[in-house]
Amino acid sequence: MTKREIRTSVMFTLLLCTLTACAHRVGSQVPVTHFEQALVSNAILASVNNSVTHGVIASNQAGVLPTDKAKAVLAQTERIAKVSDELTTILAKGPDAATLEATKIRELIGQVQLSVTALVADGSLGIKNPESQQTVLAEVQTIGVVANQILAQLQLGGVLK
Amino acid sequence: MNLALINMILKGIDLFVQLAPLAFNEIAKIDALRQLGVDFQANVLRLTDSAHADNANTLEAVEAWRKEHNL
Repeated sequence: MTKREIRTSVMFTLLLCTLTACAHRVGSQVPVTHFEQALVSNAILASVNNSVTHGVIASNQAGVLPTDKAKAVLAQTERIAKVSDELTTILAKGPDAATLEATKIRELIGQVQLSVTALVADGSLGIKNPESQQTVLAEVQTIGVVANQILAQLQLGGVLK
Repeated sequence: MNLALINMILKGIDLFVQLAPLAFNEIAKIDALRQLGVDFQANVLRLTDSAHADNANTLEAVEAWRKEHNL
């Protein structure tokens, strides 16, 4: 990762931490739990990954992303979708059951991070239009940030020790 | 700070502006549903169903693209 990418990642982290840290309930007695916040982040991760996938396919169809590059990027977004689905299945069982699969959860989030690192390390992502490239790159980095948030929220909620 | 970095940060802010309402809406929905008596487990199912649907859509889109390109 270059210094620029690290700085950009820090910016996203700060922005997105604000996003969830500030998100709290107003006016009711039962606070939104850390586990529920992790579920919100998990839903955002799947949604952003879906957006990246459709963006890459659209870029390829528009002729601004070569098919070999699109193939490499889509292999990673497909991997993220499969891992995210597995993570979602575990989280759907609730916090108590998820605690029993803490090691697996860490492993799955680690796999998402590896895919994000692979995509960012690829540098340009191969999209010729700089604006589209920056949008896709920003979304890819967001996936990494949101994955970290899931980890942090599950730790705060006691699911991960 | 060069122009590319500034543009990237601006894109990040754009993305934040798009995602912030999504997160806040979800938190607000949890809040509203709980006040209506919807329990924790129902919120878990609603949010995990949403993630499952997005992941399924991603996998279908990649598969359709591969078929289109005979890959």
